[in-house]
Amino acid sequence: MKDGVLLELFARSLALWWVILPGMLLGVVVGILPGFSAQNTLIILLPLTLYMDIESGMAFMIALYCTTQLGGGIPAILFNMPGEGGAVATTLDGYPMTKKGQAQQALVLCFAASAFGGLITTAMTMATLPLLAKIGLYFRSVEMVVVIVFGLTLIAAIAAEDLLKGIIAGFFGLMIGTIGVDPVFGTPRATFGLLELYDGVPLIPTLIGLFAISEAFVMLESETIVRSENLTQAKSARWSDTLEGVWMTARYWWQTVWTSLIGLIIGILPGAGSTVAAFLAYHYSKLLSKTPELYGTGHPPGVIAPESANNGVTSGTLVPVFALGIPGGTTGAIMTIVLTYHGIVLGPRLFIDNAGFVYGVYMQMLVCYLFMALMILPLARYMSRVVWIPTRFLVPLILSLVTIAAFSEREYVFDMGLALGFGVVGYIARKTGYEVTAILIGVLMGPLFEQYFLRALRVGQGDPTILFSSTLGNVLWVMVVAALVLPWLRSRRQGVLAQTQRAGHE
Amino acid sequence: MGADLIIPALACGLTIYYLASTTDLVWEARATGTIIGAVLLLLCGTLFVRLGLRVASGEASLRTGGLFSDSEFNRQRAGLAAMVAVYILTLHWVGATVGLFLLLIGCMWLLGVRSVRTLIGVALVAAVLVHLALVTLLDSKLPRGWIIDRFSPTPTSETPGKKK
Repeated sequence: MKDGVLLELFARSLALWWVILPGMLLGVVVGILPGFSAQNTLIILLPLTLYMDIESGMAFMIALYCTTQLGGGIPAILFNMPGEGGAVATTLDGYPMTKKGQAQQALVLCFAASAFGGLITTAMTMATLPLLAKIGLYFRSVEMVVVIVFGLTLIAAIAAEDLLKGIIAGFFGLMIGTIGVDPVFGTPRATFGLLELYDGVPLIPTLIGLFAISEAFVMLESETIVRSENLTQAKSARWSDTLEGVWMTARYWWQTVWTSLIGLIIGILPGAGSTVAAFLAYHYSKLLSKTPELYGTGHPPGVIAPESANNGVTSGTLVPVFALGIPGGTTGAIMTIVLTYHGIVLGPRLFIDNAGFVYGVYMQMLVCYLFMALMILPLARYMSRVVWIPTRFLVPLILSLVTIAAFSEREYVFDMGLALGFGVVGYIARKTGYEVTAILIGVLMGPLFEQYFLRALRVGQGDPTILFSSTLGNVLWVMVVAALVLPWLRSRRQGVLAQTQRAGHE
Repeated sequence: MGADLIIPALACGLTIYYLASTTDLVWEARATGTIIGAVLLLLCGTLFVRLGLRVASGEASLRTGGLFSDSEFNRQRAGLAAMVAVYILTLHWVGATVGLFLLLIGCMWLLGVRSVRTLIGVALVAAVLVHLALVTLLDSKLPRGWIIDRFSPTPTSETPGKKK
């Protein structure tokens, strides 16, 4: 594309500020609130987007979708409660930073990494769009089964101190994920006779229970979220701390680049989504780091990696929609509906017949990330003050509001009780070292795993060795084994080194 | 170490229930759950053996530690969970807004807030904001309860449990 055309597209996207800004504002709110997802909000607002002209409608949807990923990181950092699945990995280092009195810096890292990660992947997608579109074709059901197993293994390996407990937590989540009617014959399985479980275990009450309610139960043990010795530091936060956060992101610029590219590639794959991308980015960031022991203690790259990756996913989501006309997830499906309603013919011909439109949409995304960097960064200072509130007020507010939020997805009172039940399970899991993140990801991946697993078995006519029949799949299996063995080898090596040093001292 | 057995016990319980309740289904309907369950039982078995060896060597005991001890925090936790449970169970009659107001007062009082003005002020502001945002603006089907229905000019809300 010529520079003049790109500049014209940029100017046209800037002129859509009147839909981008409300979309961003709504996206931040939707991201913060558990129970409200970008998908649901886009479905509710579908009549509005259909009423708008195609450019404005797409700009609004893209602004909302992009900022939702960022919004999900805010409660993950401040309260250890991810607002979205993609922000679950952000809790691992974001919340420890808050406890150390560095909530403002952590929020700035989240915002800056989201905005820059999104900018990088959007620019990259614009440059390589026709090429990227082919990646999705290589991932069929067999490869997707391995991708899901890989994602789950990483979470168990990353998040849990004890690998065995981490994997048990992940498989417990997968087992919970199999509750409900089966996807082939519609027969109920392990529903305890409850009609409310026929559609499976709902995700929002599970997320709320495992993270928000269990964290509130733990939170009441301290006077404030910030440790008392760090409260003075947190209260003395200034604008210079915002700049420090920006500087930290700039220092780790390479990390932002490659982790956002992980997000882009995962975003292209159908169904994998921002949760897997964020954990994959976190895992490789830790694996390649010179100081892996700092991860999980409030280490800035531990916030940058998942946030860049989950925003990289947003650029990838649209690739299969445009190139193949096949949406990879709910958001892609909603956008497909709007596009086809306006007469856009999706598929490879789109790049020949209507290339300007495709690049225009990505330019809108670019403008949205620019607005995000300029407008949301300064808010970090004010948002971080929430954690000063004493827990005797914060815990009741969180408990009561999230219980109500559990109702929002399906509007069943049953879901509120389910959230409380998961809250108790989550509290016991936290106190006994079973990673709640792994349980949640298991529940999230369970139905997807079953869908691809059954499809693969059907292709192989019931022969399970089909799972080892593809080259790409086998490469991914090797990576699964490596993800399990490498951390174990590393800790063993460190143990031997420590023993040798001790022996040397003696 | 006793507390470490709760999650594996729950996992094994769910797996056994799943396997027992799906025996008469076709293989495609139970294939995924059976494979996941078999791996889960194997993993839990490994953990039980590991814990058993540690208990046998005297390195650990089967006591549940502080998880169920009679401490102030545990009493507060149990109280909070009970209040949330009562809120959910009485939601149809009391309503989401009035119930939220009472729940907040109860929870804050339990955690040590004693100023009546603060208790009522915080609970009232939160309840009114939630009512305006969810019931008025987003038209949520949250149960409104007897008091709101009696004084509200609009008709009674639908029975909860219906999808939008």
